[in-house]
Amino acid sequence: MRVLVVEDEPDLLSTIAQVLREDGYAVDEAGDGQEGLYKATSWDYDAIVLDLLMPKMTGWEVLDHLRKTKKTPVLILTARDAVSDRVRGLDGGADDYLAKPFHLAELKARLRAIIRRSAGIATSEIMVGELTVDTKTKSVKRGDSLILLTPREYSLLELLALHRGAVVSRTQIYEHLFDENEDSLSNLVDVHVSNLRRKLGKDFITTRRGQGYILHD
Amino acid sequence: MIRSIRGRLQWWYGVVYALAIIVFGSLVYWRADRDVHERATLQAVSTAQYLDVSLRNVRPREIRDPVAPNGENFPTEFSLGPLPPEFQFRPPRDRGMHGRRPPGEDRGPLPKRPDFENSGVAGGRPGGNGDQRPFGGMPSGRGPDGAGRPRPFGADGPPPRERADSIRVPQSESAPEDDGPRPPMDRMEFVVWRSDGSVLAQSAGVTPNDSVSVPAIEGNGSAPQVSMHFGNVRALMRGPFGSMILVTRPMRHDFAGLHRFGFQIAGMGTVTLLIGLLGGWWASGRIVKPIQLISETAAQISATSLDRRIETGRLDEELVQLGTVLNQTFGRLETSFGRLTQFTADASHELRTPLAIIQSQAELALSQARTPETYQQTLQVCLKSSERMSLLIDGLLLLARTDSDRLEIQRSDIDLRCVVEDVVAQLQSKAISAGLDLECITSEDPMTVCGDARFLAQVPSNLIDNAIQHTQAGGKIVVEVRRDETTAVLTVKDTGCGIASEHLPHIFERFYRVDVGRSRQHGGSGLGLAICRSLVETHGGTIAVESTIGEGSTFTVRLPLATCSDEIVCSANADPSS
Repeated sequence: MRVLVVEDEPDLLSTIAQVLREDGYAVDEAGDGQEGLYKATSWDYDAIVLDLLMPKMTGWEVLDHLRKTKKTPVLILTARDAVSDRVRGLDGGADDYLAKPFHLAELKARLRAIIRRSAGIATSEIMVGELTVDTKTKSVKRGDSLILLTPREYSLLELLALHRGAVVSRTQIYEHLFDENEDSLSNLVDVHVSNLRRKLGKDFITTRRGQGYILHD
Repeated sequence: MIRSIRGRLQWWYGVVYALAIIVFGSLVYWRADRDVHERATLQAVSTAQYLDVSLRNVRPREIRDPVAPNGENFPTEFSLGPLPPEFQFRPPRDRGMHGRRPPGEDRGPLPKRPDFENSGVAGGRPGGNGDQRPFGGMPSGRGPDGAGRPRPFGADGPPPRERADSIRVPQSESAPEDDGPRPPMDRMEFVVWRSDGSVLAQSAGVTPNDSVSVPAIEGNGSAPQVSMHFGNVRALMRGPFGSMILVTRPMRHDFAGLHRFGFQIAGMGTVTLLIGLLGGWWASGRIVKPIQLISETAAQISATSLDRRIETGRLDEELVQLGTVLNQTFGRLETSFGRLTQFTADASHELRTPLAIIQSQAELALSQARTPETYQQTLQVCLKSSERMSLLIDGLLLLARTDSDRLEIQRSDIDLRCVVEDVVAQLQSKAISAGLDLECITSEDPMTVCGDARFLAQVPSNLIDNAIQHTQAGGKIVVEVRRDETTAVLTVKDTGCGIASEHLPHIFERFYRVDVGRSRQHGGSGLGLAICRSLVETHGGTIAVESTIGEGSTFTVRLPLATCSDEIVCSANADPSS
């Protein structure tokens, strides 16, 4: 899952980015509204964490411009907690609103929720055949037995599970699994897919040559 | 004391209205009273003159001497001839009872002239019958009862002879019963005395006392003299051959009518007053209604509905002004309330941000085992954020204290040059590290102001700090302290980016941002200039700013030159030579 954090407070930006990275997200950072809007329109993020009061461009303006082209889920994270601000943010196209100061756990939960909702899934557990992908604990179970996966492998599986039944291209996988600072030209995707096949079963992930990968129900 | 406007309106209105009715009623009553008296006077006078004329037709000797030479008595019939039109009235029917009485009976015994007791014109009174004429007199003696010839007067016998000029007194018995509704009137009474004081003739109803003595008359008495006598109108005049004529016009019925009229006026006035008061109560209710409307609207305006206004379009002209003033007050209230809300939102935003950093940093650090370097870093970030918070809280407290005049200022004489030079020296290193040239120019004269050095130092400190933050490397900042008549002038001039003119009026407002979020990059609290203004104003000075985009800004602080005492205190670090 790839997330963009737009926050003008450098300390807070790095903290949030680090928290999300440790949670298995690929995280891009933007220090002001302009940069945030540029990145948000350039990539297909799974979610965006957006501050409101920022130099160059406010969060409301970013949201306004973004919504003209993208449906990316947006979580507004701001110190402005007045009802009018919340209403303005949500009506402006935001999916959720979190006021500072906040608990990291809540931020992560809300982020999971808006990603899940955007994929059209209601619960935090995704059932794929015999497998249960728990997005809350970032774990995969077959029946009652836990399958150990690396965070990357889990992220790949979650991505495929969220889009199960549909072809997910390699580009998409790169865009959602790796942040802006990682080299996307490597064959890391192939490595992760083969690892997943080894752990979950050979026929679990189908390769569509020239198109990408697909996870069947 | 009536507290309600409506009640007071009603009270005043009622009093004025009652007074008006009383005055009007009195006027009408007075007028009617005068009319009655005038009419009675006229009747009395006319009757007297008429009697006078009639007596001239009687043989003078009879008037002089009661006994005729031939031994006959004085004629008992007179013809008073035609009556003037103003006598065309008739007495009420109930008067007839009097009239039916034999004329001699009610006269009582007359001591002197018994032979005249039943004679004369005693019956010549208006109330004697139902006739329209008070004396019943008709030309040529034609009675109203249709009798062709005059009736003899008196119950005791026919007149000794028929005379054309006899006074005929209509008989009460002949009163026709066809009386229409006529105003009641008292009978006219009269007495005629001979020159020797004996009564020649008198009407019935004249009390004996009246006929006993001849009243005195002033002047020659050829014209009737009118006077009031026991509420009755009396006309007195000299008749022919030294006779004296007294006509009394009784007013009893007129007064009764007048009283009735008075009661009618009073009753109608009371009814009118009641109707007026009811109408007034209704009208005053209508007047008071818009006031209730205003108060209802005002009552509905609360913290959450400050945008409501009184609809002045529906108000009366006098109340529009009140409504407008109230609306303006509500407008100011809304503005200041909005400013307060904005301030609270800004302040909470500024406080929440460092708090969010501290909280998330700590949570992150504790989420798993970290290296000592990571902990150290986390703690440093937390420390930085808490410093920022305490700076902000200090600023807010300072502003709150100056707002409520609770800032404890320890005033002493301060040389402003010392303060400024001190601050410049402290910020020099910061300016140098930002690649700026910070210059301080002070004049030779001492700049003594009365104030608190701790707070006054914050002003140049904040201004210079701002200038450093907003000036690109290589720029120049000039701080100058000079004297301008009675004020000490501190200017801080930079060659920074400048401030757009639309922002200039607002930059001294709390948390006002020229560019949202810019102050955060510079680490400012957003309160620096607000604190400057607050402190300068607390010290009786002013602060102003001029700016040109791209060229820089100049902040000018003016403080009044004054001494609290003779002792001049310089800051510890100040250069003593200055």
